[in-house]
Amino acid sequence: MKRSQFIDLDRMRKQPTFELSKLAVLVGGTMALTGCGQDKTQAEIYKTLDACKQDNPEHADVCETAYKNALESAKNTAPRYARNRDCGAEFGQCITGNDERGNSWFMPAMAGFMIAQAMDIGKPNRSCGPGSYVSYNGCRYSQPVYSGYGSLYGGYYGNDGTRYGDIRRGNKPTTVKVSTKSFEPKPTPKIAKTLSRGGFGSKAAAKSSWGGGRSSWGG
Amino acid sequence: MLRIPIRERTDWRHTADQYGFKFHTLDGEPYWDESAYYQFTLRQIEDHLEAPTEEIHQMCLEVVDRVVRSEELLERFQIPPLFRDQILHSWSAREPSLYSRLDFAYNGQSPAKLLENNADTPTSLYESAFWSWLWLEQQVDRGALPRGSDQFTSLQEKLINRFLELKSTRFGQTLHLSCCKGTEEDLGTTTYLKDCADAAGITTKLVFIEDIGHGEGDWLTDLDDQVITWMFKLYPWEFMQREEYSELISPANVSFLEPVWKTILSNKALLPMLWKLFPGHPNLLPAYFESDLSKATGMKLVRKPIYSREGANISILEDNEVIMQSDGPYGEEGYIYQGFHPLPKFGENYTLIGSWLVDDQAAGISIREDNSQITQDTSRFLPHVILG
Repeated sequence: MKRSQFIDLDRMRKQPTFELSKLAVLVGGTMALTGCGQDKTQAEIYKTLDACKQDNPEHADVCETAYKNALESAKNTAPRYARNRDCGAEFGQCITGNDERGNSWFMPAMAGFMIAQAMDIGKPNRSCGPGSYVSYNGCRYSQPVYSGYGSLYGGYYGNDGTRYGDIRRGNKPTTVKVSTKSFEPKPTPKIAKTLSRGGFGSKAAAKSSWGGGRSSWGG
Repeated sequence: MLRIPIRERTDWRHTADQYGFKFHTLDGEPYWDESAYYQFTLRQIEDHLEAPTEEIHQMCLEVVDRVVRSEELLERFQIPPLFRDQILHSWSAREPSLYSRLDFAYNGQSPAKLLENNADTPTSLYESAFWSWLWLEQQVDRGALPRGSDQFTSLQEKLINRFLELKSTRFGQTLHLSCCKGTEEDLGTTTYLKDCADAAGITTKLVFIEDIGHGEGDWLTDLDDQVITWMFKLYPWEFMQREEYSELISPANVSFLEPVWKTILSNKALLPMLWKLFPGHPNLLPAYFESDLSKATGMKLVRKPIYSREGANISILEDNEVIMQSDGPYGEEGYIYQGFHPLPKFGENYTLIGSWLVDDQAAGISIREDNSQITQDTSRFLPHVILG
């Protein structure tokens, strides 16, 4: 057969009569890259703050800072979905987020946090790079992780969908090798004050004064 | 390849309303025309159209690979200097593409001849991917067409699968989809792609090209001040590269569909480059840059602007005399010349085949008919079937 085998006609109708059907979600969940030249470091993923403290009884403060850091970062960097079921299909448990402008969305609940030793361990503490913070033995990074659902089940995933490793039973941390790049703050803000509009579209406007009857800017 | 009259579905206008197909009639003239259909054999579809489409696409990528590395060729392609590095990087990173449409002159027998590549902003997608498909389903169900009828329209399936692939690299991001205000047809195509992306579970948002903003920190923003990070635009790259916000494109760091390297393919300079790299290829027509025109002495030629849309500013030349032309607002970037190859004529109609690709896979065909040798945006769209 040379044509689409199935088209969901209810979805195509512009006056939908009932809830659209749910489609199977197929996400690769690419493994963290292991290319050459990338700074790799060991990291631990903890399910909870307590699990971190149990593992590092001497350094509860490191756990607390890492946890708070990750929680704060999740607010801004967690993947966002317009529909709860789209979020749920990938992460199972989702929560709502919103901003001061009244926008709201669904995002996965943090399933754990990752702590890594920064590569610049030997440098004075005050020069910790972006996204990292000072601890007793050098710079540390932390970031939130989420647990996959459905075809992603059993894995820890980062903000960008990178699969970091498998979720373990109990409180023992999952140890993984990661690129320190993955901890750098993502610079793209979600909202930016708009300074001007209308900087695109002038060519079309100029050309549409010709002829007048244009129906398309495609081809 | 036959053109066969058939009774229209009596309720098709009502069905069009239900499905939101609003541009079936343009300026009072029919655009969707189901008073006839074209019939192909499976061999014609697979050997004469599908296989060459995928092969030519690969040949086109070969051209991109040459052009992005050559200042001289980038100049010939009229690529603004500001975008040359961006195009090279976009190509080196193999930024993913979504779809394209190759246009062929094909009469059912001789090899299909490539007329051009609509690689950046192809339209008539909804009609090809969905509306024609529905026509076939209904006409078979109602007994107007034999049970064994098929059609080459796997576009919708392939588009949704492509969006699923793309989604895995852009986790949780919103895909903005954009076209100009005031064109029902472009909005139809854009909304259709939004439906496909939605079906793949992507969060989507429409924004008109004219409403895009310059956000503090050199981002592109939508009307809610949301930063655009991933965008489908049904708006030509060559326009965007020459407008006020062109300098924002690089810092705004948007992942575009189509990617900026497609500027090379949606450019008529592609045609002489293909002929240079693959001279004599059965699916190509000879084509020349203005400077090589001496090689085309005595040939009947078609002059096409390097950048143009929907058959505008095309001239047919015989012995250096213009014997037919379409007017329009294009041509300031110069012209190329292509050997004239007549479109097949069925009755009073000149017929053009569009052959679709989703990424690098052939995904269907569409048929346009015009009363003129130059197919324009006023031409009609007809369905097709595969039988035998």
